[in-house]
Amino acid sequence: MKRTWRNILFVCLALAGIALLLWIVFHNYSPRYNQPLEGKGPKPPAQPSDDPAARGMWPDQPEQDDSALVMVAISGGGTRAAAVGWQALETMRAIKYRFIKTDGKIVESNLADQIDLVAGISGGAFIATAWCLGNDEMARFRKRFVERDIQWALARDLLTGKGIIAAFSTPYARINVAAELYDREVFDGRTFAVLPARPVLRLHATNLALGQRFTFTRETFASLSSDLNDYPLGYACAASSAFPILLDPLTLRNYPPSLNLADDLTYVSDKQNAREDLNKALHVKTRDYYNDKSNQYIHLADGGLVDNQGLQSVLDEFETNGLINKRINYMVSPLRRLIIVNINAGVAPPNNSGRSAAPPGLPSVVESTMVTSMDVLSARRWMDIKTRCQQLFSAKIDVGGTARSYAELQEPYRIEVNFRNIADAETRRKAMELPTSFKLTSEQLEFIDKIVPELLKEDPEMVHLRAELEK
Amino acid sequence: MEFIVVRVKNQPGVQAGVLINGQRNGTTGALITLGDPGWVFISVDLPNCRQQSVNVTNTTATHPMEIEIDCG
Repeated sequence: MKRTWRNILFVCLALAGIALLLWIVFHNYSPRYNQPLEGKGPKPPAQPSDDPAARGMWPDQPEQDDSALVMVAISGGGTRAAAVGWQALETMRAIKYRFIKTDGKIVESNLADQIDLVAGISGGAFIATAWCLGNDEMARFRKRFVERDIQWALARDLLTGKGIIAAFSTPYARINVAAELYDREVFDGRTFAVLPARPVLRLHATNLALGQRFTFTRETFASLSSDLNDYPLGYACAASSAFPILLDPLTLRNYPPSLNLADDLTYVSDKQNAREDLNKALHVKTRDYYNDKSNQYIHLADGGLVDNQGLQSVLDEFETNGLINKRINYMVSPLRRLIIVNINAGVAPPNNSGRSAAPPGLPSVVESTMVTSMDVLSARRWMDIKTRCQQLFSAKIDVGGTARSYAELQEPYRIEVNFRNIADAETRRKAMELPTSFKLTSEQLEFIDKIVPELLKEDPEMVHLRAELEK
Repeated sequence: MEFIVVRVKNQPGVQAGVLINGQRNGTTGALITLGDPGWVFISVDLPNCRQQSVNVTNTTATHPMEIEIDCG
């Protein structure tokens, strides 16, 4: 008996010794961080008169429909969101139409090829990224992410190799294991440098210190004195999908030097308006935080914590100097069709907590506070977009054809893919019970592939748009 | 949404790009749509034009704020 206890004590001491040794070796093991702008220096501000993309135009793309501005937001929801986004984009690709360019050339195109901006959150961030990598990427992405058991691959990596390092290192966390997996096995190590100018990609995470959106743009990285070009796409997707508790936040470096914000007219203007305008106040707060270089690290979690559908990205473009705003004001080719597509893979499994006197357990509370309440906020943003579209079209009604910028504008199209819109109750119930995970069965994928094209094509505003496109 | 029309002082017919907060956005003499009301810096993309800080509010597409920029 005494010998057995001695053996147990020996094993415990040996394990503690191994753990101590691993901690000594790995506790300072660093992940791959974003790189400083060292040697490259901050870019000078773009010359206002020679930047067509800043006017919402990409004249170097001859097959672009100059009269349309198409913006797509893809929600979070793990593999379900990626699968819904994938099928919705493929359905848009199947909607063919032709347009006549200003030089009289007839171009055969489709709705998906005319997408100007894609915003993605969490699971939606992966498919948004894949879409921006080009047509060839979609089939590859389907095999590598949508049809794959990513959860198993993640569990494998967390229990071996780098996962063991993550258990003992302070800076290298579990999210870094996930980021390396996505970087290596989903996006082939590609960085933001390979993305085209159009479509514009907006990947969102949440800055935990501010409770604010963090968007992976060159402007945001410039605020960190860092270069977005070197940053891996897989890492940005990992940050966007770092759901709290399940995965740690992903960390970025905030490098000196501070910028002279007094030279930035947008910042100065926002500061003047901050008292009356909450959005401007938040912009100022964010810029000030990044410019305070004692904040050496930026910790990012799932983008869904502040906007689970990416709709704030679309709302931003209605602001002064936003893409929609500039496009309306660009008179060489007046805007005719503003098309906003909200691909919402949100689900609402039945909540039966009201049937019992017992308070809801932790999973139910997490669901209610982090997911359900956020869905309500996202729905409000979708309503805000509707209001903005109405304001835009009201201006058109007011000025009629007298202002060239509004002369051809049609009523903006707000198209939604949302399981809530499924007419058949049994099909809707089945959709609402799809899991939020990084793994779907082939039956679940087949189900998504069947319902998403119907939802998209049957949306009343899509019906209207298709009728217009066929004219 | 707010609306402005920007002209060059003493040269109302001049066509040039308008700079809103330093970014090109619209053309002189044409209706320009802005976002929410508030202060913006407005100038014209021509040499020697002076930037103005303007509080744009309570405008409509049919009653935009008229702004003259001094480029003398």
